[in-house]
Amino acid sequence: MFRRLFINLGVLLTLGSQVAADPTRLSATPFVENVFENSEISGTLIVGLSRMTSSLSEDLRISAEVPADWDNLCLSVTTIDGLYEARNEFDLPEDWLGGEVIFDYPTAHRNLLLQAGSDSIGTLVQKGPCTAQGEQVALSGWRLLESSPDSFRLFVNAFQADEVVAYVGNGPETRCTSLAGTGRAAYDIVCDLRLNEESESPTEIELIRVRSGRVEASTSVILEW
Amino acid sequence: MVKNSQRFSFSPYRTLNQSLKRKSVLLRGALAGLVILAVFAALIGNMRFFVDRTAVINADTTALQVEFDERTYWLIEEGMTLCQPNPDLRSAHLNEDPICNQFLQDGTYKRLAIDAGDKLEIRLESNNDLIVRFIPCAGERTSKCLETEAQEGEIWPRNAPGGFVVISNEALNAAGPLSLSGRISIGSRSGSTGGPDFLVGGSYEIREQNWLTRAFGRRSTILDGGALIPGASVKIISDKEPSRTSNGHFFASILDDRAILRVIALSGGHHGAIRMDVAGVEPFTIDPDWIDSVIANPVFLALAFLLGLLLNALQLASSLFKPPRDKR
Repeated sequence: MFRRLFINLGVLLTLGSQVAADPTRLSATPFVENVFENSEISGTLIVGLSRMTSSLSEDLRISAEVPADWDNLCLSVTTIDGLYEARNEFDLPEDWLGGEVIFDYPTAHRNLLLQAGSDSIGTLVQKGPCTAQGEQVALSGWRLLESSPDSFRLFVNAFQADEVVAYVGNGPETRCTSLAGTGRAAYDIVCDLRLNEESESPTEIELIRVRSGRVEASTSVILEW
Repeated sequence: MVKNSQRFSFSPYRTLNQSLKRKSVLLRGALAGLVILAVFAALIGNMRFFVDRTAVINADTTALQVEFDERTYWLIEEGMTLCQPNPDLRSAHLNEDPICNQFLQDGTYKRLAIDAGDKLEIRLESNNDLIVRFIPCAGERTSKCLETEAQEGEIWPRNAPGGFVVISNEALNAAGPLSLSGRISIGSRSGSTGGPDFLVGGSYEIREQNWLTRAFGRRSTILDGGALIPGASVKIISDKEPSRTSNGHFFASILDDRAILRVIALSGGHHGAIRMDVAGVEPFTIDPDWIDSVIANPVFLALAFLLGLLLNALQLASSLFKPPRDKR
């Protein structure tokens, strides 16, 4: 009985401490999202980069860990079937010192997004405006309650590659895994990656695609935090 | 008035008519029962349990994937080259092999020994070489993934996970049809994102034999048939699930001056259907229902026709024997 009480108290305390470190809220004007009848085949290789969570938050909480030297960013949210796609630009406050932000997400398709599992939505936060994208990316969070410390997931469109291999910095290779099931139009491969202890921002993430024994030129993004 | 009618009821004509009427009611009842029985039987007969439905695919493609359900051997007399993954992909571009590209050549073999549980991706490259890729198995500790001791000149896919064999077009032509069994998927699922491997075309048929056709000793009837959608990925379904026991074969062929693979595949199990997956839309299944089955079934149509004729004849006969209306 008392044990349960203490656990409850503990939970309340941790929740309270989370509330105390209130992340900055960002909003985009205008907010643009698209729902397609037929999926758009996305042309980008990396569709999402987000922290993984075992338990999803009840509400539509989309967050990111944004470095101090960013002025604005572009958030893309894509469902695996490619039927939902949204790209929105958010400005950071003048006195931005870095840290976690939460995006105001006034979506008209709340249920569609909440029904999708964490495997079927890719969120990507890139530096700069949506029209001119650089290589710099930040870690995003899709309905994140508690972030597992250093692991994150890369959502990749393999474009018929046999295999995709990822490297974080000078770390060892990580073989990416294909997602099972049908309706994978926007991306079909996920790479579960991890930052190691000596990783420092910025860290390069390199992707190598292999097909029929041909190793194609690598693509890389620079992860900042 | 009353007197008149009483007198009429005793007439011999009336008695004959009454007995006839009673008989016709009985007959009609029996016939109606028969019709209900026939419809019921047709419905029952079309239930999955009684029906043998086979999906047949005849496809031209440059890609197919198979998860084998039994041990199968492919004999390639002219030999095939094994290519193993390069352990260091980052420096792999320094390596350039004429057959294996950036992978490492690891001997030539004449026999591919495929075991149950092996997943192969088969595709025709743009230079007309056939590549058979050995997809590494997911659960690494199950018995399916254990390495097997190979004989001389023989290669087991599970001994080279992530690798592939290259079979030249001449060697493939000389080898003839190579057999497939298990879970067969034709075409490539991302048909519209580009790439050389896709379903070029072909046709499908869904054949059925139910208790009615069997009782009358007839062959199976074609319930549905048509063209496969080029660029789609086609799967054989059995009892609502991707069939794990399909059978078939493939061989090198030529269509419009380009090399392709001709794949013939038949569903295993009792209730074969076909699922087509076109990129961008929900996958759809071609699975005929009992109406298709009744329409396509000549025995049922013949029975229905005969029964209808009989009923009509009886109707006509009973109206002929009807007595003139009692005019009061």
